[in-house]
Amino acid sequence: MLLQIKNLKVDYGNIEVVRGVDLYINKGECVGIIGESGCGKTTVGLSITKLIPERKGNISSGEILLEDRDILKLDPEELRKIRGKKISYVFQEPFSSLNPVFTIYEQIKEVLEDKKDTNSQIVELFKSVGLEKIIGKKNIYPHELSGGMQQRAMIAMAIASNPSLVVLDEPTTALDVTIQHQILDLIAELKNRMNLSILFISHDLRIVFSIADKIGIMYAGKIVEYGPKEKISSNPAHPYTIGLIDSIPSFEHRKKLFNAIGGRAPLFSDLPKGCKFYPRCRFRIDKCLEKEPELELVSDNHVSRCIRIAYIVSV
Amino acid sequence: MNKFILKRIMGLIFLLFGITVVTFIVIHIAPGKPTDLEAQFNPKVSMEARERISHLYGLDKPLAIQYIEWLKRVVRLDFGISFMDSRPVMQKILERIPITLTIELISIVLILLIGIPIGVISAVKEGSFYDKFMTVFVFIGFAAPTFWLSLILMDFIGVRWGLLPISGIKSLEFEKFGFLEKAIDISKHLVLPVLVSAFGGLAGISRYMRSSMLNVLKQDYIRTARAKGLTEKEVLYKHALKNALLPVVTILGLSVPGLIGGSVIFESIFSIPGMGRLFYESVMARDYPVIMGVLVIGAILTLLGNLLADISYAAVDPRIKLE
Repeated sequence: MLLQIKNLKVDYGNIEVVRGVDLYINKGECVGIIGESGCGKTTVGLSITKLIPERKGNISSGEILLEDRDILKLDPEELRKIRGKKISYVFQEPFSSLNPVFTIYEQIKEVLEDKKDTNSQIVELFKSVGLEKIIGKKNIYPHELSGGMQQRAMIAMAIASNPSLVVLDEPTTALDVTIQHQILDLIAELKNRMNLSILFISHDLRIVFSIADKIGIMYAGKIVEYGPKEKISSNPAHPYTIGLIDSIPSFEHRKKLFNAIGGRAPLFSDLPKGCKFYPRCRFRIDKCLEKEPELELVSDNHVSRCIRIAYIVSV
Repeated sequence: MNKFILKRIMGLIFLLFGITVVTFIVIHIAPGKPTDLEAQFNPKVSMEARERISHLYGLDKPLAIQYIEWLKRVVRLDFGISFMDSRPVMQKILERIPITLTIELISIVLILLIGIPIGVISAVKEGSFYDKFMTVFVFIGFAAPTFWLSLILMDFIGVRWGLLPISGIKSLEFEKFGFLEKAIDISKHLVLPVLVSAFGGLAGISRYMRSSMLNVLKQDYIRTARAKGLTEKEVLYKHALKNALLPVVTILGLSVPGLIGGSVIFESIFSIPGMGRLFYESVMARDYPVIMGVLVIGAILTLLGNLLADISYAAVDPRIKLE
């Protein structure tokens, strides 16, 4: 097991936004997390190397084991050596994530461990992420690249030191659709070639289905369903997942309205009691209000946080 | 780039022309006349004598004609002759400008050397005791009137403790000194004026630096820098600082008029024979040619400061190109 996240809880001030998340990533595996904006998925990603701004957020409990070493217990210097080397990140907005006043070359050079012959290393990286166009152009700044090329540069930075895990936090959300496709192809290719382990965070179900091996669906700070992607797509066992899959627009039904999930995600400061999805659920019964359900086994490797699994799976 | 600068300079020339029109009118409609001292206050001077003096200075002509005559001379770099001592205005200004510029330059360097670190550390330690202390400290400097602060410093450091001279820029026996002694003598005289001038400017730069740094520290690329595993030093003093310094460059160029204005006050208090004091004296005597001369030079320096701010911004920020 490469990475194990156990019972992770994070709060911002007094408001808990990650309320106990467990997640496991094997070597060479891509795990996707899906959820609406503000469900805590980005916070989970940032927590892995304690990147949450110190004054704002606080990891209140849990363990994050990277190859059996608890990252949360490391001192800042040890943590720093893991960041960018063993665990690297690609963020949502490539433009604002690159420093505007340093050249692309400089910014990539900073992550290279071997400071000798950095140029040829950068050339190799550019080749592997499809940035052949700017090879040798040392004076090029981020704003001179298109959004897709900026994201390729971010990816080059993320894979520069052969990391064990890459956290991709909505890497394609800020890009237009054709570029999205190219970036996803690149990620899939790198994953196979370098045997990368990936945590892929997104709100776009179709993207995650296309790239992930396992999928976790997050709602209101907890994982509500988790399993291999085939099982999640063919046999969803949580009402929220069913709602998400139904809301994907399809070509056959293009004249119909989208099947959106009614209502809106609850505020963390005002969570409903019992099952957090109760107010929006179409399978709800009174028993759901009694307490928040635990994750229960649907089949092998497939769990769901719902007390009506048997009924849901049968319909 | 060159085309841009040329265009800007053309624009600045028109702006300068406008400034001279306004200042010329304002100075001439201000109460009092240059002839007052010689004529109005002296009952023995007859009406004809007054008119003769007015005519001698050309003050009996309409304002527009006076302005055009002034302008004709100025484009040939002739600022006329002082009413007070009949010396060429240009000569009077040229012998005083180095003193003012030296003091301003030293205090700008001081402001930057002290203000930038104060602001940066305040931002890095936002909300700490240091941050709060520095906020109060720089605002005292900002709020304390220059003349009051100068007088307090003169009284304590100069008079009671006798540590530093309090007036002028040279001692009486200056001419007898060797080179090193001369340098020390001038430096001693400059300590208080420079301190007073720098203390007031500290608040501006340090607060600006603080908010600029705080803003940069919130940016996504700072998170990227941390995620890359850079040391906190590299994150703060390489990735953040370079971005935070960009707007300060502009502030520098724009602070020229404030410094020129400030020099009027402390040069008068410390009896420093600089441009500020020359301006003050010439205003008091309604010495129109000198007033206009100093204002034009001040306006040129201000406009050059603005131009320099634009150019240097483009030089330090790769995203900005002058076109």
